[in-house]
Amino acid sequence: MKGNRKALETKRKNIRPPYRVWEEDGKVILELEMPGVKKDDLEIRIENNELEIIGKRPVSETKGEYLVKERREGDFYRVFTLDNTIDQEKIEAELANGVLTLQLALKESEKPKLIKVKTA
Amino acid sequence: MDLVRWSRDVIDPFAELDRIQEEINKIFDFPRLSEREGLFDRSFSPAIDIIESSDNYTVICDLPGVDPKDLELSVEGDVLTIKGEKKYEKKEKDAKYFRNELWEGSFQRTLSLPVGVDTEKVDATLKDGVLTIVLPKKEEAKPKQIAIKSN
Repeated sequence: MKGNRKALETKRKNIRPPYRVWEEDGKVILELEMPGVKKDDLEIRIENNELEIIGKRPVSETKGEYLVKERREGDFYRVFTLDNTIDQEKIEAELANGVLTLQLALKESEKPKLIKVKTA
Repeated sequence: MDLVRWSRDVIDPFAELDRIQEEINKIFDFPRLSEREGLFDRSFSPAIDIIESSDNYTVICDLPGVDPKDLELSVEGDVLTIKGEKKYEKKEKDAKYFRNELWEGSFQRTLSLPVGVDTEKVDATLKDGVLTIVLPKKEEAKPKQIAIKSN
C-alpha cells in the first residue's frame, strides 16, 4: 500500500476544481475555481456529449524550502456529461481571476421522443 | 467463520484497539485541513504555501474569484494578515442552482513572521486568482559566506 502511494506521488495529480452550476435566462452557467491557470493553459473539449475541462498549472518557480505546504500540486481536470437539452454549438467561456465561467445555451425545447410499445 | 492458526500474539485486545483507533484516525486524515489553525480560520480558509529561500520568504495563497479591491494585506509588528472577502455576483432570485461547491464570504489568515523580515519592502501581486507575497529578509538575516584567510 505504501509503495503504491509513493509511485503515485511522482506523477502529476489531477485536482477536481470545485464548481457551481445554475440555470438563468435559458442558459446553464458553470463556474469553476481554477486558481493559477492562464488562458493558454486551458483546454475545453466536447466529445461524445462529454465536456472535458483541463487546466494546466505551471510548476512553482519559487525555489527554496517549504515551511508550510497546503496548496495542492497538480493540474485541474473535470468532466461533465451534457444532455440533449444543451446546444453544443453555443458555448462561451471566460476566464477571470482564476474562475472559469462557461455559458451553455439551452436548445429550443426538444420534444421528448415517443416510444411505441408493441403488444403481442 | 475462518479457521486461523492460533498464536499467542493474536490475543492482545489492547493492540487490536490501538489498531482500530489508527484505522479510524486514517479515515479522518483529511489533507485539506491544516494542523496549524488560526483563530479566524474557517475550514475553507484559503490554502497557503510558505517558501523560504536565502533572500526572502514567499507566501503563496489561492484566492480564486477574489477581486484585488476586496483584499486587505497588512503587517503589524511581526504579524502578517491576509483579509478579504470573496463575493460572487448576486444572481437573479429565480436562478436555480443545480449544485454549488463554492463558498463565499469573508476570510482571514494571520501568519507570524520570522525574525529578520524587512516589512518595509513587502511586495504582493494577485494574478490569475493566486496571491504571491514576497517578504525580503533583512541584510543581517541573510546567510553570509565568510572568507577564510590563509597565510
